Amino acid sequence: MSQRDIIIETKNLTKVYRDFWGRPKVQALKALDLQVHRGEIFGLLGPNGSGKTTTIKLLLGLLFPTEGEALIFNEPTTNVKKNERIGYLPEESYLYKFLNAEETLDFYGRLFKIKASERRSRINKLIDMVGLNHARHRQLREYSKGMQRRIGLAQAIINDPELVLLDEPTSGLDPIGTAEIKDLILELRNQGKTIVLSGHLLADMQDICDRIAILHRGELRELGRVQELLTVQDITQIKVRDLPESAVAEIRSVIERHQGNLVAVDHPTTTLEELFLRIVRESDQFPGRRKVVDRQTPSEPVASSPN
Amino acid sequence: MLDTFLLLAQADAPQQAQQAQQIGLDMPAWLLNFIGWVYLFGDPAYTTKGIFGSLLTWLKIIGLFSLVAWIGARILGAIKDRINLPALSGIAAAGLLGGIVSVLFQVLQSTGRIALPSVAGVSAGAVLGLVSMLAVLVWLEATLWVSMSRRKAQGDKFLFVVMHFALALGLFFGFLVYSYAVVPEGIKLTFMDAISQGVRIGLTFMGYTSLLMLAFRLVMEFSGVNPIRTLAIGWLARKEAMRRMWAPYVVLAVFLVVLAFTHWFLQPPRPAEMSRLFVGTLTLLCSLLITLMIIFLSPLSLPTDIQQQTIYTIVSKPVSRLELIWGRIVGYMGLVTVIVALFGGISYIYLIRQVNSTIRATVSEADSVRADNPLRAAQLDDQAEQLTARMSARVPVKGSLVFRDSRGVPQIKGIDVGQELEYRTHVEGATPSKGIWRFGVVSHPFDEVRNMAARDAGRTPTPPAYPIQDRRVPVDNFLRPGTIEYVDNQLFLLKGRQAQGTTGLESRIEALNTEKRTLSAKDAELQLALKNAQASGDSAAVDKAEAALAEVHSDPFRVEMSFTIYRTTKGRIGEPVFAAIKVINPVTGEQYENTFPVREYYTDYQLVPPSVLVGSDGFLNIEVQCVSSTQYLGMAESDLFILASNGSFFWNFVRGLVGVWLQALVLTSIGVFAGTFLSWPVALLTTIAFFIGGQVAYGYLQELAFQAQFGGGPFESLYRLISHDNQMSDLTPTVAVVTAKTFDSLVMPVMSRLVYVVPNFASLDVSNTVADGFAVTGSQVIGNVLMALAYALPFSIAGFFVLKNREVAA
Ligand SMILES: Nc1ncnc2c1ncn2[C@@H]1O[C@H](COP(=O)(O)OP(=O)(O)OP(=O)(O)O)[C@@H](O)[C@H]1O
Ligand SMILES: [Mg+2]
Repeated sequence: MSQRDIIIETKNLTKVYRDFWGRPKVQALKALDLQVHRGEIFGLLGPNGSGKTTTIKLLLGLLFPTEGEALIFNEPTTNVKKNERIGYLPEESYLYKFLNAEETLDFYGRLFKIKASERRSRINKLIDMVGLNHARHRQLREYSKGMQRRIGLAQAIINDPELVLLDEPTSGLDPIGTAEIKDLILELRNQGKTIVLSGHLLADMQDICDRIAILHRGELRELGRVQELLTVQDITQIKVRDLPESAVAEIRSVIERHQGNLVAVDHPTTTLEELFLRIVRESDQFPGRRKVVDRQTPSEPVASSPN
Repeated sequence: MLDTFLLLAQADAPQQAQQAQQIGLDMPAWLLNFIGWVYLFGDPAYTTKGIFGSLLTWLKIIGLFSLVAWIGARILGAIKDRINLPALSGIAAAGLLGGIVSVLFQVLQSTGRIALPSVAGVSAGAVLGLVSMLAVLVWLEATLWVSMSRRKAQGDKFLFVVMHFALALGLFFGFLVYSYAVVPEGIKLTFMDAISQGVRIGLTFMGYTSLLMLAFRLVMEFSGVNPIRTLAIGWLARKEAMRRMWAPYVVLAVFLVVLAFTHWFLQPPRPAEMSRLFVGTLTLLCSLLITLMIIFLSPLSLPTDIQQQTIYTIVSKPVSRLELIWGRIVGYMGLVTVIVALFGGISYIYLIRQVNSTIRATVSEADSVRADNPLRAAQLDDQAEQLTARMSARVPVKGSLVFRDSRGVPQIKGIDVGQELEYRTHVEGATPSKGIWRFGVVSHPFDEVRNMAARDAGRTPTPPAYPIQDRRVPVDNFLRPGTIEYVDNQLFLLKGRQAQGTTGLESRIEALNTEKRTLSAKDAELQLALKNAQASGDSAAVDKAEAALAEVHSDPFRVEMSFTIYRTTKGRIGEPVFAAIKVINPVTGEQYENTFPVREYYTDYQLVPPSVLVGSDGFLNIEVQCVSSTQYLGMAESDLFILASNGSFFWNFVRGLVGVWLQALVLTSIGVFAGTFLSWPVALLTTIAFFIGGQVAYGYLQELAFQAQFGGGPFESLYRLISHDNQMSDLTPTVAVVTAKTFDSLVMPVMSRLVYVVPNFASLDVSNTVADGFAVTGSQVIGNVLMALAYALPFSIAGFFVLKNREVAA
């Protein structure tokens, strides 16, 4: 994979939160090594307090790493110019409550120096897209949580970014909203954009992520393609239609001869939820660092849709 | 001792050589000159006249600040990095201990308890102190170096090295001075003097280097600043102010409410002071409200943004931290501009209507009583005149005032009649006591009083010891071309040049002589016509002749005065006190004299014939005496001036508002700066403290810094406190005293500069000048704009550095 296609790279990225006197308080992230590639949807998973938000903030230069470094588009995170190609949705909708939807988008658009006419058309499109047309002139202080989330998302892609960082994009959204956001993310990916999202709503992540990283207590626990991570290799599953009983008995005897225990003839996939719970349980049982191998072979083409 | 050098450096080159000879310096002229320049650029406490001098002082101050900030930031960094050098911490501890012991020794020695041997003329205690200080310094530097290395801060390391060169250069100059300087009594400067002077110069040079580095970094940063984004941030700040804080509406409402009741509580003590009171009050109200608004807006914005985490969506966009700060300043200043314009406009209309209607009423009342009560009518006329005069923008030419007391002895001040709060001093009636205003290129009053006494005693005057001032009368403004006085003046000047040996002026003189003959003939003719007309009682002809005469002559110029009267009990109530004024042209001896009744609280004026100015070259003496015996006339320097011109009140009023605007600018940048690193309540308090400090305490702080130059700095004061020496006594030069003084000389230049962080809000405020009907000059406005920028820029840049190195999401 060429250097150009590595959008995000972290090397030994470590963050220790300190108190006022500079004494270490929380080790939020421990020696994270990651690469995010162009055009993929990358999921950051982990239980509460595992360091997902910290990672994203480090990537954006909102926090400075205690050790190690992060590169976006091969540039240091302190370089503000790279932000022109980045969109970011914070964990909560930290928006100016005294602005209305239109003003909000207009303001952020101006920060990107988007021309007025272009700005207007994008604003209309985005407000339509997130379904807030009816409330576009109301101040955000009157918005419900889900509505704020929607306008936050619109704000994150006002500059038509190459890389979108979404911190729990679906939190606070209704099922329809969640589905819409998922569609939107896939749509963005199809436009060739790179998306990094964090979350713990595993079903959603399972649906859309190409690759995931699982963090636990600031440590990377699992990293790889969703498809592969969820494939249970030690189980073979056979499903056959219109097979006579005799044949079944024959197969059974073959399996018995091999000391097998027939369940079904197939490779079933587990849910991400199961994987997640297992990893969290395991790392609680066996704390300490563990070598994590990126299970993706770089040359592999990007899978279009799971399941 | 080193002051000798300061004095030398102050003088121009030829004077330097002369003075160097006087004090017996054996030094080539070029070296003297060079040292003068080093002093000028290197010594923090020393500067030169004019814009260049102010700029230099500003650079030195900013340089020292950036130096302090840079070192402070490095130390903080080292603390955060937990740099600990076990090998060196022993040395540091020994150094600290040594320092304490050295102080102890020196105190003991100074009280005569022990006698220490001395090394190369410096006592062992002082040497120990120096060595200890060096030890601590080595430890500090090593720690900083390690910290910088760990952070891979190559630029910082480079600067660190360069700074040592700067310090070494400073020390070199210190020793250069040391090895050459011989003070009058023939005592050599001490080694300590050399070090302290060297460090002073070195520190300034270090300041320059860190400033240079700062400038370099800033230039990189400036290139990223974009007006569209800055304005967008400004727009946001304005929206926030209007929608979240409701600030402009509140301010406007308060303003209108106060205005509606103004005439209830604004009762001028004298009718003539109405405009002064109104202008003063309205500008004060405007500036007060805007200040309050700024105080509550600017320090709150950034901390709330950080606290509510709304800043995340901003800094994750391509926004420079400088844009975050400047954008806010732009936003608030936009708001301030609108409000100032609005308040100013309303105030102006209100003012003009009120004052004009009062003037009209006064005039018509005067007319109605003129027949029955001419005294009252004259009074009312005065009132109307005063009101009109105050609604203008007078440009005064001010003189330099000295006195003679009742026995005719020259004095700096007049007679003190025991009125505490009065800044005026007095001349006694019917005695030789008088106030003398000198115009021209005049020596300082101190010098003048000394030389007046010398002249009185028939001795020759001595050269000035204090700076001379330019108080020349702009003669060309008063003498109109084509008039007799103008031609006379030109002739006088040309003949003067001719007498000095300039050739080739004959034809011009001839031409002027011809012009003069024509004008004189016309004048004689008109005078005759006037006399005839007056004799025949033909008022139309009189008017015509007078008008024609005014064409031939320049207009008389106005000398305006406002004196107070201190009446002793012997005076008769109601009887006016008379003053005598004498305007003397010291070159030609031409004089104008008059006696007039003093109008208390009102402006008196005298119209002086322009012929007095002929040949004066801008030099003029105006003497004022009190004629009425046992009465005293109170006067201060600004009480008498020559009116150079009269400008438009409107534009002067606008300039007053510009002052309010500039105050707001400085306060805004301080508020935004405080918000970059403090939580909002603390930032709010900080801003208020700065404002109060600048408004109230500025003069006091200045005084402190100024006094320290004479009465010793904090260390000497401490010594006096401990040793029970009073503030004035000369201290015997024990080592402790010398050490205290050395520390002072190290600390005070920095301390007295630190005072400058507090902006002088009072000097930005020109509303009193406007209210008194004096013009705010263009150069004053420019000076104030520069001064405001000199505060706003460094504060905003300091804020930028804080914000850049701050984790906004922590
Ligand atoms: N500003 C802060 N100061 C101190 N500790 C912090 C700060 N922010 C986060 N932490 C700590 O860092 C760790 C990681 O926090 P982080 O917000 O990255 O978790 P997360 O994975 O995003 O969790 P969640 O799913 O709840 O959003 C937690 O232990 C948290 O307490
Ligand atoms: Mg989080």
